[in-house]
Amino acid sequence: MTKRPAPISILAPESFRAKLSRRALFQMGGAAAGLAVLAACGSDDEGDSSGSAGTTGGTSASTPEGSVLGDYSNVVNSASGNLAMYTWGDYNDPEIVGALAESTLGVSMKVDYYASNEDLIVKLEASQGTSGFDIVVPTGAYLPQMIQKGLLQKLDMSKIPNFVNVDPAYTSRDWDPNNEYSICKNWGSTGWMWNKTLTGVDSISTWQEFIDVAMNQASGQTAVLDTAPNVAGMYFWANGINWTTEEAADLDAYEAFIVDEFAQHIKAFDSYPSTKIAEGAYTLAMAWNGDARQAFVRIADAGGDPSEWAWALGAPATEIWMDTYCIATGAPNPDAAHAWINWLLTPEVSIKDLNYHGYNSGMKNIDTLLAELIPDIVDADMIFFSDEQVASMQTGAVNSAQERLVDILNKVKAKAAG
Amino acid sequence: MTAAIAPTSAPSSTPVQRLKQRPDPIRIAMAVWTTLVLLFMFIPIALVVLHSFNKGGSFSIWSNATSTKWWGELFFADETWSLVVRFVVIMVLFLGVPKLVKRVNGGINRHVERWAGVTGFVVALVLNWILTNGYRDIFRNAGLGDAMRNSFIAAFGATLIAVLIGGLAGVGLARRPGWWTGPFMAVLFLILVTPEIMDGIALLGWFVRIGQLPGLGFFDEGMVRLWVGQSLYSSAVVTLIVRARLAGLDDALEEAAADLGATPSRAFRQITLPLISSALVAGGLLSFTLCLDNTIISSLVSTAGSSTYPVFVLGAIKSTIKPSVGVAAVVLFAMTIAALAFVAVVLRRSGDSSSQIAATMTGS
Amino acid sequence: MAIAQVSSGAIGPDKDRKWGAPKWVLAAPSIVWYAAFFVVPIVFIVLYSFGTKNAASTSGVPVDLGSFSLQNYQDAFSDVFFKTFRATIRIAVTATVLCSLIGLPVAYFLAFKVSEKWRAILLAMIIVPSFTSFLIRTLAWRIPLAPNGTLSKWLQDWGVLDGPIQLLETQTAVQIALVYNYLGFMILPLFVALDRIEPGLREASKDLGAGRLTTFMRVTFPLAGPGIAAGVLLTFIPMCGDFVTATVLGGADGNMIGAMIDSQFKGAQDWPLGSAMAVMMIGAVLLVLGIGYVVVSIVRLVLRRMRSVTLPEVAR
Repeated sequence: MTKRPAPISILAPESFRAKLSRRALFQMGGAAAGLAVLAACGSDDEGDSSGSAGTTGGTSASTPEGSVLGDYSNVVNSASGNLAMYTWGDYNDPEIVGALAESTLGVSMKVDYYASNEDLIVKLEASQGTSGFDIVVPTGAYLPQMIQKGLLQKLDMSKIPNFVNVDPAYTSRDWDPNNEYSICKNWGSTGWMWNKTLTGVDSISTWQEFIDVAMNQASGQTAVLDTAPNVAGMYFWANGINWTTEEAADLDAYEAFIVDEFAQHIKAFDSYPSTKIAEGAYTLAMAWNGDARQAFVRIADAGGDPSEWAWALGAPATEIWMDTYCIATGAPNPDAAHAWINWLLTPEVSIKDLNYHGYNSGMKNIDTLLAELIPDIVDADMIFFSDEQVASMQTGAVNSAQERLVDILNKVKAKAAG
Repeated sequence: MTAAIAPTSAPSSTPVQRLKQRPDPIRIAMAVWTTLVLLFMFIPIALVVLHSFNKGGSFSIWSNATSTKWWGELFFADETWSLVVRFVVIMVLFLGVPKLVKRVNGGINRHVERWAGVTGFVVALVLNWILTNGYRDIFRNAGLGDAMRNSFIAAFGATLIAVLIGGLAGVGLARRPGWWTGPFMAVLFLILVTPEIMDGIALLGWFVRIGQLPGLGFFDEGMVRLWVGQSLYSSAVVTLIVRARLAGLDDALEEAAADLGATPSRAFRQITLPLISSALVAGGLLSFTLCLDNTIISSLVSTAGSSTYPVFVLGAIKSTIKPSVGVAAVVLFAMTIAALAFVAVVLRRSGDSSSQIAATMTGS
Repeated sequence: MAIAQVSSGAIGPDKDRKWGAPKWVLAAPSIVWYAAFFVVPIVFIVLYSFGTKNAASTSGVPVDLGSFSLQNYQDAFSDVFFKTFRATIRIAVTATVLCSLIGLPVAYFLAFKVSEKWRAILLAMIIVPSFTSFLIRTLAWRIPLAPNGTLSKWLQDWGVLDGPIQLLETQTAVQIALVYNYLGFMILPLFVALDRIEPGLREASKDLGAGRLTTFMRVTFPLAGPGIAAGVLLTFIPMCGDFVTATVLGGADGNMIGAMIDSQFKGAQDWPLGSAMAVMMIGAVLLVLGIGYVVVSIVRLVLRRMRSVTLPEVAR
């Protein structure tokens, strides 16, 4: 058995594994065997979780004294049958959408991936409830139109008692004020990564500076996110305008700048630049925090020097996006969907998942929870933000400007292609 | 200079030998060029194989260390090895026993000899299907395993449809042209040029609509949708290939059969079908690869759990492609090559040359 | 018409006597299949191109068909569309030309210069790469092209390059991958066309005193015409619609028309505009093919005329 840590384990410190496995024995019975696989992650052994078929039905387990975990609801409901999830690529710990769900809940999961919210919407809309998916994971800003189009069904909160574990800061958002349809999966924000050596720039602290570097030191080596609102956000935030503006004058000014002055400096439109940063394709890239955190691992993986790179959160303002668990209209197995979502809201599972994807999963008192479960998590500042930073984050909206923004992005792309 | 004409087929000599006999600079240059082109074509494939043994967590980033861990991440070793062993044993039995009988008895029924391999292949396929829960049990990574499995089932079904309807239409176009030829060819051409995204959106909406009709609920099944969606382009290709194949042969044979009193269906079975068999095989092969690679239409029409391999890769391509995806590619590649070799053996028995297969494959 | 051609005894042409069914009967399964799963659904989509976007629709189709309008075609007829379309056509034409230039010597070599045994092996080797997944082969190109990759480091160590390879996220990368992905589809038809040429024709040309080059230009190349045409159709048409290659390798530089249409259907949820663009793209691709056909026909005609003047001189 090889002992060399797998890439994921660079993000998964030993302490967490030890603690998680021990706790899992207390708390989740059959799940323990599955978690042991996590501890063995990176090895070639055949130890799978199929040995433990036991499920813990609808009980809240006892917690050792002196642990913050006792403050959380730990209900695990069992279910049966198949559970189909449609989500973003590489967005859940493989155990949690695989063997562990099977051994703990008794559901066998199938996961399919989409690359954008638009892919999800077009598929659900044109399928009219025949897509066969139970759980979908849209971004908050897209919820109102999905609800209006009848693509999502209401959640039965009586089946999701662990909802009390979610930090109230991440419930009741504008897009779904009463959490009738959605529950926070995790949230994140936008900033940038740059290569200090190749650009010769030590600090990029605002969107305006980002734009300046992109047009000078990193011209032709810059990647921006491949979503129309984010490219627009860069300009609006640099100029002190809210990125959800619908004012024609703002949009015109944005178009003039981005198409005529900025487009030719863009190398790529890339929503997940981490792999390509490691390949050396960019020297400056707009990125979501979790992906940027992955980038440091990948750079090391590729034999590069992570210390050449730096990350900064967008300023003076930036976005807050939230991906949410929802149940699709026409879901074949809503019971299993509810059970799975509820299970995800137990602290251990939520933190295990967080440790994989690197985004804040919105558990209440997450700092304490993390201190107990993963005290030595790396790059925590890329997952958790200060209060001032959080206060500077603006929620997005899919509004009347969306079509115009897509139109402008197409012009930018045509221009950038020269 | 003009004297250096190489005979087109020197008996069984390698180019190298012949180069020694007749140093011809142009031929050497072409041989070098062809070698370079082949190298160019195989470089990415070699890289896919190499990176399936990558130790790191990303397919395209080489971590300077090899490991079989991503193979282990995709397959359960024990189940997979027993499946392979079962396959090999059955094939050895079915191919070896007739040979043995032939040697001992000094002869064997020609049909038994000819069909033993095919039968063994099918028996192995079915037996393993039963023993491994439809091949599901060999995959540790169920998502990727399902995608590979779905790819094969979808491509197989769609190819069957394509060969069936394309073959008939191709014969019709070549042998029974009429007023319908023009419009029909126009539709074929439109199928070839229509962007896949348009086909995909159109089909998805259409499936939903007709799926609500009584008795047509099976159009809600992802696999049925994939069969239909993938069969469009590939059947058009098969049609053109079969048509081209027959257009190159005059119809004297069919005429003679008819003059001798054969019914149309009999003439078709005994004369036309053998004539187009290589076109059907070539078209089927081409169709199979086209279906395996079909991405955009499949990503739109597939439903939960019926994602194919390219749909799986496309969904993840913007975030992370793990080395296990490369492992799957290598396995799919090996299995397609095995199927190809198998077809080649069957074809060799029916006496088609490589040039003929290539010719029919490209519709010339 | 066709129905009238039921067996009419000895009066009708030979063929009709033998087939009691209408001429199109063999294609009937195809006709039904294409009518049900291509023509009808596509007609709906084309109809949408005359409607207006209705994002609030709950019918599964975000389109209003209330009023017939050509607005979407006007919108699609924009600078951006043409710019992207021009770039797409340029990339596709370049790749097609490169494919034929690279493929022709290979096909020639296979057809005339190797033994039967080697021909089979080499042909198989040309077909085999296309049995690996298209997506993964394209993705694999990122490996040698990566600026921080092994190849890049070697080339720098050997002093071939003084900086890392800068090919990823450029049109050059897309161009390389397109040539790579479609080369086999060019070589095969070329080979077939060359393979069919009677060896006697080329030998006769040489016996008549024509040099190698003249023989190639006057005899071999014109006879390979149908193969080139087939190769162009098999490569050019799919290249025009291909945007996956560009998405994987091209960055901002590789914006292709297919991606733009895709973004209208998805990102902007503007099915009418996306549909109008798709219709225009189909028209434009057919137009380009038509222009190509006309140009080739004219060139042929001119060549033939020139030949008819020069040949008698040679004969004398």
